[in-house]
Amino acid sequence: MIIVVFLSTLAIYILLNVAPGGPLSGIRLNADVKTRVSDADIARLKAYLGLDKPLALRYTTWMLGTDWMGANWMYVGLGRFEQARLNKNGDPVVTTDRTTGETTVETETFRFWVDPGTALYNPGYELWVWGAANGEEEVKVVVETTTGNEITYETLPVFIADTVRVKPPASEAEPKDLATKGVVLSQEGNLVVIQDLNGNKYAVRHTDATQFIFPNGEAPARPEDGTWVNISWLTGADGLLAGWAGYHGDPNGNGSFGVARLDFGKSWRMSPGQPVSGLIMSRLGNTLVLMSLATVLSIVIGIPIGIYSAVHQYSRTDYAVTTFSFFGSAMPVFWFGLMMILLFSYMFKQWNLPFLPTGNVTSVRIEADGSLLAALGAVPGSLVDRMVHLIMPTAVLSLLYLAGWSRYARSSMLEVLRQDYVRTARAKGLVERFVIMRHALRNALIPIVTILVFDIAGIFSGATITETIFGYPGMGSMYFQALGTNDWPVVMAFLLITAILVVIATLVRDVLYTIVDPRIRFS
Amino acid sequence: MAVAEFELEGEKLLTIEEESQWSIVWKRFRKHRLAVAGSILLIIVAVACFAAPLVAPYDPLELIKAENGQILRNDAPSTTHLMGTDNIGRDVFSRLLYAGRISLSVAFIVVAVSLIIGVLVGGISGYYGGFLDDIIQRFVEFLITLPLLPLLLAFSALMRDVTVPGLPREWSSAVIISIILIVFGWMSYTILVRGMVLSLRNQEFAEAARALGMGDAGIIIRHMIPNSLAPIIVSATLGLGGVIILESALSFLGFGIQLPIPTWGNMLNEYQNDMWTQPAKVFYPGLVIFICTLAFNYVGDGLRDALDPRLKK
Repeated sequence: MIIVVFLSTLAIYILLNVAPGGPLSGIRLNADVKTRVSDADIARLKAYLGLDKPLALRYTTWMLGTDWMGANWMYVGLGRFEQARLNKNGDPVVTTDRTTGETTVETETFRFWVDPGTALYNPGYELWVWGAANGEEEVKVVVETTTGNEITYETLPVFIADTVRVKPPASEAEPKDLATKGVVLSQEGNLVVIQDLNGNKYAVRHTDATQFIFPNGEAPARPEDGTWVNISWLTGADGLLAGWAGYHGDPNGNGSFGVARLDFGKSWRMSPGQPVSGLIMSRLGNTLVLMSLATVLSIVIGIPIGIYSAVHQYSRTDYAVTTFSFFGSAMPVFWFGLMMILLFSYMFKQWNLPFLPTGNVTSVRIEADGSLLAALGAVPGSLVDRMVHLIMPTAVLSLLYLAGWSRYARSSMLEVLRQDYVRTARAKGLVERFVIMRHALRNALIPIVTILVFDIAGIFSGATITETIFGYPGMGSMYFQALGTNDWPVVMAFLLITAILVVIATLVRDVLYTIVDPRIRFS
Repeated sequence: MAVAEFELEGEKLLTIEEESQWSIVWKRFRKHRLAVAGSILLIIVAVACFAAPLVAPYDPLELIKAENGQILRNDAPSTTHLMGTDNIGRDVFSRLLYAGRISLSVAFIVVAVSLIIGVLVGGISGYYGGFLDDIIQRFVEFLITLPLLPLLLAFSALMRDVTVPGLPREWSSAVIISIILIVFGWMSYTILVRGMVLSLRNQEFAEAARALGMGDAGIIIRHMIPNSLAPIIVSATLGLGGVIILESALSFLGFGIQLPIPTWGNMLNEYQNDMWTQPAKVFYPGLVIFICTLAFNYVGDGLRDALDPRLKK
């Protein structure tokens, strides 16, 4: 399954990046005469966003992040640790509650501890270096300033490190055989620039033979649930990524931990510079409410309707149900939604009936007289307010899903009613209701359960068209907006999550099949 | 088959009147009234749309002028303008007909090409089996697991800027959307044909054909595909409705076929802004999409009943 997930991420990434035009095509399209984007601008933009790198490297960094490149150890696994937030002087930040007088130490949560490479090269860390001097070299030096990164090229003395000690405790006396020491300024590949107390800069090059001494032994013993993996075969001097190690320490601050560690990067346009995961979390709740409501409603109503119409095949009810499901499957949801808005928001207003809000998830201010919200006296943001806003999108989605569910339930039930065991049950004189409830229904529900699993995947990804029409801030409309504004990190995150959910749903469905239907066995 | 009674020299003889396969199908199809109604409606819509230059009262790009020389903007529906005029003064009804031409042709082309690909790949995959079949099936299964609508949206958004060489710029989007719909649409036909071929491959007539020295290509084309034609026709008819909805959904969201080429989907998108003042303009394009899809679904249902009564549910 992991292979399939991996393949689908790979396929989606490659397809989207290789497609003619590429991620930046929309920017040129949206630009009008005044803001004409030249080829040079596009090239600059590509360089800024890292799109000029080879595709394989882009995929690798998208999946695994950039922080580990140039490091020899990578932390694999999920972890989380908290530490006190420190102010500029290095003291913990303490807040005092004004009413109770209680003081709390503010903490920061680091979701994922970084690898020793980054720990080693974290600007500000002190290093003790043993090794031999090796002439001088022109080295790129990046100094973090408040306004951004200052990049200079300087000729510095270079040391080939035998042993590097990271963050030596201040209490320990300095050994005499030390080659150099200093605070990390920046890093480029396996070359670290350090600065000592006198302001002298040195370059330290580490090799595969270099020993690292971390505060807690060989590799920093960091949080739970993970292991350190030696990746020098990948990032070392002869490694596959050796030439690309310079990508690490992106001066534009676009570095990420990679989607494999749940970091989807930063949004380009929707909320520039903010993490995509935050954007998704802000939308996910709304989508979950809408989609689960619509799914539950449609199942609770749709399945009994379908079963009933199958049991009474060719009756008037059956014709009504099949006609309804035909209409539902042919109904373009965008038009249906618009017509609902037209009827319940616009025409109802004309007819002086309590009209519904056209969209969004809550009201911004108290609604005009005559609306349903005003009639209910709903305060913006209250539960009633939210529920009234949910009426129309839920109704549209439920009706459409209802058509599907009643059709599935009907055909599945018809299939079962034709089986021999149902005839046997009838032949031995069972009451019809018992035959249906006990023998037919239970078997008819088997395919339905498996379709249900797929709907659960949809609950997370939302309904793009419905959410867009009703201006409902969920995952689906986020996806639409991201496409419209060319916010590709958001698009990629959404596609990845959807694809993974579908793969998981497929697996769960296959497993469920064997559980609910013992006739099926995997060979 | 109809049994006719003949009187011959005073004796009653039973003779069987031979009927062709298609006349039986036609007889069964006629019983499905909604399917017949659907096909009549589709023929009318298709003729009206494809003969738009003859049928449409106005040019789709012509700005309608009133007697006083003013351009008639947002005119209410009347006898001269059945659905009114839009915000720059074009006749909505004429535009609807011209848009139908694009929407219907895209649907037909997409389904036809996906069908050809699907039949070929499915036929080969089912007939030869083995390693080739495994690879094709894994690939198809993989494509099917990908979320369809989000991917379609992403691709059409990506390729908005692309122009097809040798084509007028405004036609590029129509071609590209068709290609995208084909790329993500051929798999279901492949699965269908593969299943049919698998079940037909080892039947006597196929063996007989092989024994007579017929080549693989000949058996696939002459025997396998004609024998699996019934479900193919049904699923293609249902597929037409599906493609119309997908294309108009993409165009409605602004990522499909771009203006100035009118389609039912982008007309909805265009007129959505005037929804509060001119509800009729939003109503009609959607209604046509709905009715056409519904008609295709009913015709497909009728064809299923007519072509293969075993499939009837």
